[in-house]
Amino acid sequence: MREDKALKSDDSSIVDMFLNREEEAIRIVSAKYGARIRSIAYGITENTETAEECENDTYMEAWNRIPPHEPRTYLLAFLSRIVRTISINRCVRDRRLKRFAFISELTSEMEQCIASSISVENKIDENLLIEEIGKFLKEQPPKKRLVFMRRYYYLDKMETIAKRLDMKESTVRTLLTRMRKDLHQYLERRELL
Amino acid sequence: MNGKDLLNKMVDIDPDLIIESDIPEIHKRKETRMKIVVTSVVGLSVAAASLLLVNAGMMKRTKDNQLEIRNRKEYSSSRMLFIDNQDDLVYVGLADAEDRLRYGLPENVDDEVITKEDIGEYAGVVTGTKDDENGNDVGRKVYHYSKYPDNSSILILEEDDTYSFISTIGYEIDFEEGDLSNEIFTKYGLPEKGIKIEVYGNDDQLIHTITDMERIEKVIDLLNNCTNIGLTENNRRLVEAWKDQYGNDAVYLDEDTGLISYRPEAFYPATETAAEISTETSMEETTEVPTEPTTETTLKETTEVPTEPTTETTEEESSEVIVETSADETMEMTDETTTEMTTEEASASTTEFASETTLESISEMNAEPITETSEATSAELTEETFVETVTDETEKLSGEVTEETTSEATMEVTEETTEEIPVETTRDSMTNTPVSQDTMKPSEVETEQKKYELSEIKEFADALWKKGSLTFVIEVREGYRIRIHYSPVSRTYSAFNGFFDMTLDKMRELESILLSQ
Repeated sequence: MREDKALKSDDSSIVDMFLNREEEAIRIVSAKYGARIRSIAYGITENTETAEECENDTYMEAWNRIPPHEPRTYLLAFLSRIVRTISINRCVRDRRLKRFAFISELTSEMEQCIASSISVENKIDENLLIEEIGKFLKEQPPKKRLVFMRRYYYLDKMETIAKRLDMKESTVRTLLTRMRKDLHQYLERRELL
Repeated sequence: MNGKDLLNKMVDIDPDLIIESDIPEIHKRKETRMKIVVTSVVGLSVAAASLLLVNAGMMKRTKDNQLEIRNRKEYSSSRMLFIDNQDDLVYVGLADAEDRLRYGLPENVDDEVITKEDIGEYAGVVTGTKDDENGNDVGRKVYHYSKYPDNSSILILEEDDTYSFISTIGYEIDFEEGDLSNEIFTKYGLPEKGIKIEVYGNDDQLIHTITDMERIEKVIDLLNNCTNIGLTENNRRLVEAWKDQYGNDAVYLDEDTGLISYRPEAFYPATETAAEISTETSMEETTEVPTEPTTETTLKETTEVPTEPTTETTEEESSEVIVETSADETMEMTDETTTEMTTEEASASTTEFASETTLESISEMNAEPITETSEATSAELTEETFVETVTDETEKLSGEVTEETTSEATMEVTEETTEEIPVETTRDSMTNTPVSQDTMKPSEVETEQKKYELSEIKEFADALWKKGSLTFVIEVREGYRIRIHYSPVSRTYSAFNGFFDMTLDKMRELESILLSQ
């Protein structure tokens, strides 16, 4: 019966349970989204035990953030954000060579999208920047959008993206290079850089 | 803000974008967007192992040592999962009765009980699936079966508060054109002691099992160092076999898709009324279909098939398809049309000829038995039937196959086939270039003239392409099985997603080893 409740609970009901401090909310979220959360964590950390720890930390963090947040219509995205941050921090903190190097590789790719020489006086409004990046992505064809998000949000490797989207790795690589260039030009036109 | 900051800040991207891109990892085979094969082909492969995986029924869960019953019919679809720490092994639901008994489980899934004591050490997490349907399995935990703590062939999958057994069916290997088959045997560490080869007939019945290591090593040696020619080239060979046999391009290779297509209009005259054309025919669907017979359908003079000389006729003389039949020619109709396709689309095709005009590719053919030679009297011949001699497959395989080559391809035509499909002097048995009524004399027409149904094209192709084919399974160890389908018509054997080229000598030797008792 409880299992059925987990599957049938909508996000809004789950958020209510969080707000009412019902501990069953954690169990229901775990049943409903646990696999997805673990999958995201595993994709970033590439370690099963660490992914599970990140998952557990996510539930605790969600407990702490609801309230004041009330992600009634975007609970999965909310949890996804939390686990992503936790997972990246674990990689950076643990300094496991492979993943740390990979994240460094991604940051250098992101550098290509924005100018790095930002003075304190001319600090970019980060929220506005992210909002504009979102708009840029929404103007792109779905596949290009997916590739960009898989790379820079989910931190997938090129090979993984290629498999996931049934593309050649070389195509993914080329596509991302062009997108970074296009994004840079887009942000320049909007005078954000 | 620097790149690191931006990477971190991506967490605040629009949630719609996050959800949209939250897609499971799908393991797909390369160049295997095969669709339903219209012809009667029985093909079982790793993907088709799903036919065995009807995991319907009741599953029991554990709760503080109390057993709860839960209906798990929702898990009736097959699963093909990848698990971290398990290389490229593919796992499926443990529904096959024989496999279940091997692990000491009840034959019937309904009788299965998984208790807390059954759940052993943590084994990993599902990292991918081969099909969209089970994408939600990604991230699920997997445990060893406590009864087999060191055996990764059988594991327990944790689902939403319930559990199920999964077992491996072997490695997933992706082949590209030009790759050698060696990777199969390297990956499985073959040959090794204790393996066996099961040889199956066209009816998917076990013929015998080979355990003699010398023979097994020879088989592996023959299968090694074969080049993957790819699906398109494999299909090209099948189409060429059709041309050699029947002398027309009613079945042709679509160069854009690499798939086999047919021209239904090639078998029906332009003057035919709609009522006379099979309802399953859809001529409009084929863009390449000419509205009138073309010279391409001119009877081809072949030296391979007919035992009597044929005369070439032109399209203008008649638009009817004529076939010569004899009283003792029969064709065994096969009903089974299971097809080989992508893992996502694995399903059984029907015996009906689909309305779409494309005959999709055949990745693996498990030849239906054309094992009987039956006699038909003229009374059995109707306007709707075409009869063709059926030869005994076993006899053919034992060495009666004769080889006749064309400039393009090597195609084996049996002596029995040529003998038993006599062709009148006026036309080939499958011509779509009719004979002028003026040239036909009653005395030359010994049998009733026939017209082809679209479904018959499928049957002709099926009978042709299945000739001499074999399926055999190399069982490396429990659960690790390599299923191979061998086709002398295309001169390839298929395994995983590859079509591996074989020389004629290798083919003959392989047949000899596999079929000798």
